[in-house]
Amino acid sequence: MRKHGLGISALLGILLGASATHGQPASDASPDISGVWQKTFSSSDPLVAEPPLTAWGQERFDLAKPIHGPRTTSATEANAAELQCLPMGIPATYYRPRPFEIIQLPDRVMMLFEVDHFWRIIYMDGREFPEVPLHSWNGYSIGHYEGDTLVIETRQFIGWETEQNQRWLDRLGYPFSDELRLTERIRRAEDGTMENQVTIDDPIAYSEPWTGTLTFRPRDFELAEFICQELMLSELPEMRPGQE
Amino acid sequence: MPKIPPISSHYAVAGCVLSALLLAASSLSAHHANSAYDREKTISVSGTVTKWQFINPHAGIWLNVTDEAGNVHEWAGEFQSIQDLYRFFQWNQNTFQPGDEVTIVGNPDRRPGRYSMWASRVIFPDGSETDVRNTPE
Repeated sequence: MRKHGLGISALLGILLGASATHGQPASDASPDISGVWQKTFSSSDPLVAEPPLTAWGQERFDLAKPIHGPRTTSATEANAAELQCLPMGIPATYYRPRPFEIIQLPDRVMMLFEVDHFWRIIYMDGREFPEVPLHSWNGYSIGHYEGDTLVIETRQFIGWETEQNQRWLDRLGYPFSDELRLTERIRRAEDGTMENQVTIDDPIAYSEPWTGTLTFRPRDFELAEFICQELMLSELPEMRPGQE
Repeated sequence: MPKIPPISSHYAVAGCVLSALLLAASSLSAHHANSAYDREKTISVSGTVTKWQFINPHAGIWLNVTDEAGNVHEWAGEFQSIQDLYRFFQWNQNTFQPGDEVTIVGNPDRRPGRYSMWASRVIFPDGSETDVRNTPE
């Protein structure tokens, strides 16, 4: 099995190296999608209008109590795992209104999300998925370039778990299972935006693969710190499940 | 550094300490459609700042507000995330101090007897006003 763990020093090295190469494509052959991006869509927008739910998927969709969209529920009654500061996974993290930065290195692409201080590594060195999967909240991602497009495949997600703590593809309650195989095709559009064509292949939750497109605009922001656990310190009413 | 200047204008503050302005509904761009707040209604309360919590996911302000009967209630105003408030309006942990006299305008809690709102505008002690819905595209 290929070793893919990263020590802190290795990660620091990547980040320090990244600052020197920021804004530069990984190589002449690589499209430049680096920079800070922010979504153009609403948290109430579905990836597609009517995802082809299976019975398994429909049952869980019906149990979802999201805090956005037509089924908006008060945060004290909702069951979105994000309210427990659990990672939302991909593509749901893109639905948060916070910017993220893409850094392209020769052997990997880094996505640094402002929200929850979440980082994501996409391995670009030709490796395969690990033989023995280590399930993770955000999956294991490998990628390659096809012309002007970064293609990312992600597997080995922790899927839907309990009614009390639900993770979805979005913020509306569309579920995913452990079997989710996610494909992203990311390219810079002619108008300067960035398109991410997201294909959901999850035979447990959906009867067939389906594809939607998320669009992002470039932002002149420094990424800031966003610590989810501050939620637990907030004295505002209606902030989290179980709160009076 | 943020390049967008604060949106300020001088604003005549009404003398009343608690005025409920039922304005026409406007579509708010707040990212949370939290059902606790009634987006169809807009109210305004004026009072003395007791607390300012500049943390995520949403900043909060608390005011002691005296109603027409002379009773004091502590109102809570909920804002968006601190990154937006900092980037677009240069707000920070020192923007409000206990004792400041301010007015907050926003959407009230749906349930009677709750003294809280989704805050969208603030009128500062010097009369300047910031509309935190006005985030640039």
